[in-house]
Amino acid sequence: MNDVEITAAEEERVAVIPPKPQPKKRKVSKIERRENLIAFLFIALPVAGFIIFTAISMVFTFVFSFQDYWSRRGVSEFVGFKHYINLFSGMGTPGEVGNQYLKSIGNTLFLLLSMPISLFLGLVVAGLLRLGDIKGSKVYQVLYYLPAVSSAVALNIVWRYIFRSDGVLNYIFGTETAWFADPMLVKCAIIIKNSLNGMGHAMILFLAGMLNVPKDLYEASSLDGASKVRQFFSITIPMITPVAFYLLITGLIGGLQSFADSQVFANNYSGAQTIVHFIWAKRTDGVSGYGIASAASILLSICIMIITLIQFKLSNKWVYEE
Amino acid sequence: MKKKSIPVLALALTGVLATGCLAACGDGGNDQGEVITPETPITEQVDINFWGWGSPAEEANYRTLVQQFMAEPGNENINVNYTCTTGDAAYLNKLEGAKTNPPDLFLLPDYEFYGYVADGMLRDISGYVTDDELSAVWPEAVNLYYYNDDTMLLGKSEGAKLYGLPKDLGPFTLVYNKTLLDKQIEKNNLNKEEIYSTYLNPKDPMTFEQFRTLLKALVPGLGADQYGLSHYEVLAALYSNNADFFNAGAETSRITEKVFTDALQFAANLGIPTAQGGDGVMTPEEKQADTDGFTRFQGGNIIFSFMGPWNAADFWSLVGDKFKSNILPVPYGPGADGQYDTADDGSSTAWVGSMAYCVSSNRKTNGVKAQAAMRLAKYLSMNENAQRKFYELGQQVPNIVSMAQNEYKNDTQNLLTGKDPADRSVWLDTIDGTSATDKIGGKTRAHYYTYSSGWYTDFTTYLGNEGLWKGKKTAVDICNAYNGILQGKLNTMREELGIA
Amino acid sequence: MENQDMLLNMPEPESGKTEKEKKDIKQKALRIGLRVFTYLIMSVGAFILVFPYLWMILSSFKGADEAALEFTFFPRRWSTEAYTQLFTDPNFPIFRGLLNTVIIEVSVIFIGTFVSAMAAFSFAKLKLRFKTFWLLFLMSGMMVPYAALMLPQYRAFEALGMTDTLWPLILPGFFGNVSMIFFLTQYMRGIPNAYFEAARIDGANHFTCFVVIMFPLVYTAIAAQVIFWFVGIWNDYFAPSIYLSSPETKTLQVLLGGLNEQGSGVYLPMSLAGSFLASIPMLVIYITCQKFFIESLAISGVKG
Repeated sequence: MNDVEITAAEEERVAVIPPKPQPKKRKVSKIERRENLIAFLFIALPVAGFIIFTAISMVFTFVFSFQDYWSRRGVSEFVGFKHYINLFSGMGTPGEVGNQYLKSIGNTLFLLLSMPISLFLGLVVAGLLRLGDIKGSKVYQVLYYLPAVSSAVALNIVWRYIFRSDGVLNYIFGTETAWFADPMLVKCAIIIKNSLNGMGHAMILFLAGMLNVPKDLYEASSLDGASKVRQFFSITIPMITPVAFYLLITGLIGGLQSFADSQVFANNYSGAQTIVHFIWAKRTDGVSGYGIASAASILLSICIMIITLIQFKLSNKWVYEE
Repeated sequence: MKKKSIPVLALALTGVLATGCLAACGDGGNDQGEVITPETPITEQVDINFWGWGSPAEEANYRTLVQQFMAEPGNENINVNYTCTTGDAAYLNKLEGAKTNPPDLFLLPDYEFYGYVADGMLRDISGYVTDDELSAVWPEAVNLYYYNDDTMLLGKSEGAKLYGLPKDLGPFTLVYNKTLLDKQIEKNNLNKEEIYSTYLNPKDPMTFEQFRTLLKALVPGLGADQYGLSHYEVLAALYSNNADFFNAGAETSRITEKVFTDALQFAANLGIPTAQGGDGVMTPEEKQADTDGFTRFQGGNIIFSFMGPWNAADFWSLVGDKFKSNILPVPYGPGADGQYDTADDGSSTAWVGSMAYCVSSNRKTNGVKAQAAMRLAKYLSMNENAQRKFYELGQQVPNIVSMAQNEYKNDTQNLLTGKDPADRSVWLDTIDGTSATDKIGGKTRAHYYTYSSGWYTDFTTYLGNEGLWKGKKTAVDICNAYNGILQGKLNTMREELGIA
Repeated sequence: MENQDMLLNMPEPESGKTEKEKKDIKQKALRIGLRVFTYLIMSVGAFILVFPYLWMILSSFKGADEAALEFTFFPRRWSTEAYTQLFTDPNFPIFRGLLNTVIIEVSVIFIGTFVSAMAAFSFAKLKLRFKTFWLLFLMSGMMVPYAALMLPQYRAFEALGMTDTLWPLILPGFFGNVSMIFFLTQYMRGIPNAYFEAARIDGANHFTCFVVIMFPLVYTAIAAQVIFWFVGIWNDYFAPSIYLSSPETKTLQVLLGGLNEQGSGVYLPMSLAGSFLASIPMLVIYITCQKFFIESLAISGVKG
């Protein structure tokens, strides 16, 4: 049943991305032209929204990245590549803008570590649920997915409380680790928190992916005498790589834009400043802050665009290879 | 919705938003035209917006005073909408965000004044108050809010005009938990009388060295998570050692001077654990990351901390009967030569914060609105009843000098009976400045003197990141490394302001 | 490889039981062991993930000093101080925050969903020229991070006097949601054209076709998308925290963030209590519709 559904869905997906056969060169009838217009009207609002809120905004960000901005005076001044140069010079000198930027990039990349960890944990628990075949699997699914529907702010507040140096975590382990006063420790705390909170999401997608593995593959390998555990590694895992890939890419894009961890969980502590937090904090910092923030936004966008394009390319490949 | 109207709407919105973007790039929309005088009676109904910042308790107090103001004869036609925000960052953000539609009257902290006044956001109110009226108020407060539009310089000078009326002057001095202190004196068999007369004398400040000695004598036997000192106010250490960030005019960085690094190192050593060669008497940095020093002090677990008059009400409500407290002048350092009792000695210099009531220069705040806003500002800043109410509520030292020096100091009206701190004279001495006979004074925070104030936070963040408070690096190394950066920032700020 | 497995499963020679029986017993033991192990691991994990909520609730009943300055498992004295403060503090108008959140939710989701579904209908069923181009055009917006757009958007809304109002959070939603459009387009493609052809012959226009025929057919797919959008808006923090600065315009999440920034002291149990209260509606919705959540996620994840 499931097999049929997923194949159909994938066919649709394939159908969306490659261009449809080119319309034949012939005179477009009045009715068709009318339908065409109506069809366009149906998509007009989203297109307008894209133009206003994305395209125009993007252009302005680009322009702002070349300007100094006296926000109260309402005056802007073209300064060329100054902000880009600022971002890249002084990277090695603590206290300089470039160094803060470099650190925020480093922090953001380091925090991405939580992604593979939560993927791994998610895969382990999904595998256990699948292999263990226990009653109450649904209950676990509900509980594990709980953090994903919870507010990041609320979770961050309570996790911050858990990680305090006189908090419950240190109490249980009998330690006195000050998680929030060391740049490395605070990032580790974020990774631990995010890995745990992200595993439910990964688990459910993996489980769904596992259900969609064609049964005949298992039957065939059972006949060959492969054990369930072996099947898991030799059939299930390869078959759910597209899910893992999807999770990895969405996680990557989301992770590059992480903000609340920096602002709420680390309470603006510079040791855990992410790129978006850097942009957010810089934008009001004097006359050049706005331009620097814009320049950093442009660079971040370029990175994310490249990653997304790679995803498009690769995910098409995944689908086609089926 | 008709289908045809969708693209029209979309187009209109595109236009509106694009114009919005473009409009934001030009036009400040400010007006400095007419001079407002107090004489004209307000005959038409006028609504003004007033934005403040403070705790819920402070908000309640302001609401009371605003009501009082509207009930005054002659103010029948004025209606004040008061809005209060908690937290400095939130408030300043909100104010910054409202620049196209600012409130008619708003509170502005001293360190944001330069930026706002130089960018033309504030209305000149010199015509509204006479020199005579101003002379009743602390000159240290009033003089902060003069600005010369031609030279773009702060301070009272030829051609300078007044752009704000002081809300208060807040000296941030030393405070101690008397209950815990007495307990520690007893526990360590110290001579109580000697300690109170030599060390805790409100008229004779301690030296850095005395303070260190006292703390080391007091801390043995403190409970877990209890400390001698909550944190050190960096400015108090620097100013009391004759150090500063830059010269007058904020042109040249001075952070590599010995007085500067010595003072920083003294403060840092207090917190560095004894195992690392420090004094280990102050809350370690990593503990402060969980709960800041002042909160710990309010919880009754710290002997010394720093506080300003606006914290007083907290001690009446939050701290309650937990402990008794009192204030002291901040300790002073040996100055350049590292020896006490020489001509170079520092003097006890706490930082003195201030805020101002400022009237918006936006075109919307013109004529009668501006007049009403100024009337309210003047009322809150100088009216005797208002000032009495403010000190009674534990919010500030009165702005009116004569009231502060007698009524407030000696509590002649019996409004502060039994309320801490008892030695309110310390705050008055701090405001008053250093004289030949006393070694107690105060100083405005350094970021008041610069066009934007972010550099100050950058600097303190840098100190933490480089490990000053953990003893990873010395103050000398850190300041030498940062000197160039600070100098760059000072130059940039002067350029941005337009006076370089 | 398979030979190795066979070797491991070889019967022991002196056993009287048949090879098959032994294998069965062994497999059964293995299965039970695995099951116990699964229960164990899953329960530990579940406890870790649910613990923050328990801890949030427990600690919100502690007094300010107890929460900020010492460690206790259970509140020494159960105090509802934090909750009293939450409901009385003028800077934390919790019901106003809830109302603001709901205003954004309702307006964005109603209009945004309708607009998105309409666009999806066009992509899936109408003869639109340059269809692929327009779809890719819209989808390219998914590549641009919000951080890159917020600065000019903020300035535009500021110039329009809309900062510190809910408009900057509502307006963009009116123009639809690209991921929803994409998902619904795929879904609608699966609906046979015959449904519409009949209606078209009867003279119904495209709009009627969409509202009367398509909408009811894709109702469940839309609901699945709506629920995630709903959760997203409810928990949204970054954009609201930029635009909203007055207590009376803030959403629940921004109010919470503000409490956290106040730092320690009295605000600590208050922010925990606030976190708990702000989580309740989402928890209730999630627990009651959990099946729907999980299934929708599974579908959108695997297909999306």
